[in-house]
Amino acid sequence: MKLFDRFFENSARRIAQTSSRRGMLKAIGGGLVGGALIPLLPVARAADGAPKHPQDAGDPSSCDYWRYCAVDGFLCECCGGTYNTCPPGTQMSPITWIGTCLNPIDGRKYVISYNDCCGKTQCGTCLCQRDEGDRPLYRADKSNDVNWCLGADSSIYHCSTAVVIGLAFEKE
Amino acid sequence: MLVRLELFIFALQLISAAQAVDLNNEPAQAEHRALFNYQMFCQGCHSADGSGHKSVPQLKNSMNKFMASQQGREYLIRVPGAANSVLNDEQLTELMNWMLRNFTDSSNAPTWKPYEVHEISEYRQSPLYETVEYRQNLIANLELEPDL
Repeated sequence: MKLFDRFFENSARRIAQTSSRRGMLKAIGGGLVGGALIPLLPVARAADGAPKHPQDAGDPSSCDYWRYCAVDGFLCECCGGTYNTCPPGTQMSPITWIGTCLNPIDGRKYVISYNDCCGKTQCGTCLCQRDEGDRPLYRADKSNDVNWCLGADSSIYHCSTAVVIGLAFEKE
Repeated sequence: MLVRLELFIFALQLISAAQAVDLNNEPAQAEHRALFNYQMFCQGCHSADGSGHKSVPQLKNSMNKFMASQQGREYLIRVPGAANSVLNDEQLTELMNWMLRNFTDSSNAPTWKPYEVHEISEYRQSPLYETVEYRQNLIANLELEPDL
């Protein structure tokens, strides 16, 4: 037992003689600060997750609005719906075409689903034709000339939405 | 001694951070790339959760059933959406394996082994023409549920 006592006493005295309490705080503090700085390294920032919701700016009832970069039709925002919901009395087509638009606020591309709203006659307000990324009909999945209401209960087209469904993958 | 301790703590943190980046970054990128390719080239018709619609075949809890046989394994790559895809063999392999992982409920234990690039490269050389008829015959031959 004495052996243990002597060992721990000697160890404690040695540490007390060669270090200070402030030194210990400095070591722990240095470690913590160093650790906190690691996320600032570029490699750590590259692993950042995607923003859940894009920062937004602009008027969703204007054809210039960034999400409408490939719209060809009437904007649901002007027809009793919004840029991502259909007006009452219409049904959102479950099949659609999907493209990307550049958000000028954060400079990132987002994946946009251009679901048509179907079941009522054409809205007739806020016609918008921008066609960025639109492809000819032989690439039907990338064409805004297709009546996507063919996938809905009624094939009568009313207006178009632009739903953000994710962030585009871009090589880093 | 304290300087050494400080360096040791910092080194430990650096290693753990580097591991976190290594472990998370590439798989996270691959996951995002596969999801993006699914959204861009499949989701418009097959829907976000792979449930399909009307004449668009269901992927969810369906693809894995075809994987039980070699013919079914080839079939999934010979359908127009896969065989004629603009994706290259590596991207298509990644996407097909992503779909199988994401559209198979955990209760359906995976009876499939992931696709390899050389398989994709080979199977997509024989795209199907009469896809609906081929699918019906395959379902009957494999004795799968008729409405799959």
